[in-house]
Amino acid sequence: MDDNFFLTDDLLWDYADGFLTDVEKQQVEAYLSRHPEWQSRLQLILDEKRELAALPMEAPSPGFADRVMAAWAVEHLKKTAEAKGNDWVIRLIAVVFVLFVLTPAIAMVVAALQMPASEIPVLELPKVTLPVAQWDTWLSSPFLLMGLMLTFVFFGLRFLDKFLLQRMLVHKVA
Amino acid sequence: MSHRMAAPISDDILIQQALTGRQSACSMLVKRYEKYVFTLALRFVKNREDAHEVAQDCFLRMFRYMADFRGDCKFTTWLYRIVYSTSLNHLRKKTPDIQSLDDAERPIQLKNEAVPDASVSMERNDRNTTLRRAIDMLSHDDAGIITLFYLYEQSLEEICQVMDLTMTNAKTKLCRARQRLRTIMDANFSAEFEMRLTE
Repeated sequence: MDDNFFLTDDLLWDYADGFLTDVEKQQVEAYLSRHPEWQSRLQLILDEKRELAALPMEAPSPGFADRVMAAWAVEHLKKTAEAKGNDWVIRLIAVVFVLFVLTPAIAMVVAALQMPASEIPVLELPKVTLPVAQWDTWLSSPFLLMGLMLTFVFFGLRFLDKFLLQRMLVHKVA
Repeated sequence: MSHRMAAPISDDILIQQALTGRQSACSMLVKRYEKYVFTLALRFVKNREDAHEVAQDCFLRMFRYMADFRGDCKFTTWLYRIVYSTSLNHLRKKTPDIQSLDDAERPIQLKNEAVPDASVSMERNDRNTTLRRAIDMLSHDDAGIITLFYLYEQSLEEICQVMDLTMTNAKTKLCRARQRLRTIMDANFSAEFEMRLTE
């Protein structure tokens, strides 16, 4: 029998919670059997544990689950619509590219292949001059105009895409 | 005529179905855990309105990251971990000076100013309410750890995973939380109990 062993409230809680080793458990049980006043203390702890475990859970307001599902649906829809919207823009750009750039180029190559070699025009590369001294020429360059036009078309389509996406979302959420 | 009770669908099956995009499985998971998530969120943030917000965020995060749940711990442990981190983020946003939930130095709050007097007088007779009020007066993590251990019956190992603690820390925290709860009960509600006993 261990006479140096003294029971404390914390130790008793640890005993009730099952945190003690087998040796410690035996010590506590031996102590409890010798000190009945501690048994009533243990009973109080067990009661308190039971009360804590029996506390009713808090319920969220009615319709909470529906609101969560609606929020999730909106998030899901947004993602899907965004992905679809991007697909649409990419497809449109691809169509524009094929129609205006790739098709004429392919047509030219096919035409060149069908021509006799003597009729193929000799390509003369344009002379490259630095545009620094000729700003007005550079600004009226068809390449710049074409680039600007393509940029406007790209951002215009993006804007249209966002606008349509927004309208679709508002409609679906409503 | 014999009626066979339909067995409830397990979490694993619901998770698999939710991952394939089945809305009914998602909805079932929300309905199954809404009280658990809401109660734990309420213990942390101490306010029903905020708890609704946190609980909704938790479920949205649950759906977003469900594919990351590998099943190496219980689903509830994973979900409570989301609740804990979402609540912590919410509290940090509201009170930027919160650095940690380790409150060894924090004094015990002895008066719960958040509870309106009218409702207090109406609920005096309810032992559960008293205990709940005492838990409300605890700090966020004290209330959380007590709820996780005693109400949700999470093991100490699971609490370590939820709150990112070591075993020793979790045990110490639980012990301190219990002591604080006792102090609050003694300081605030012992007179109430005596009064009730004499009635």
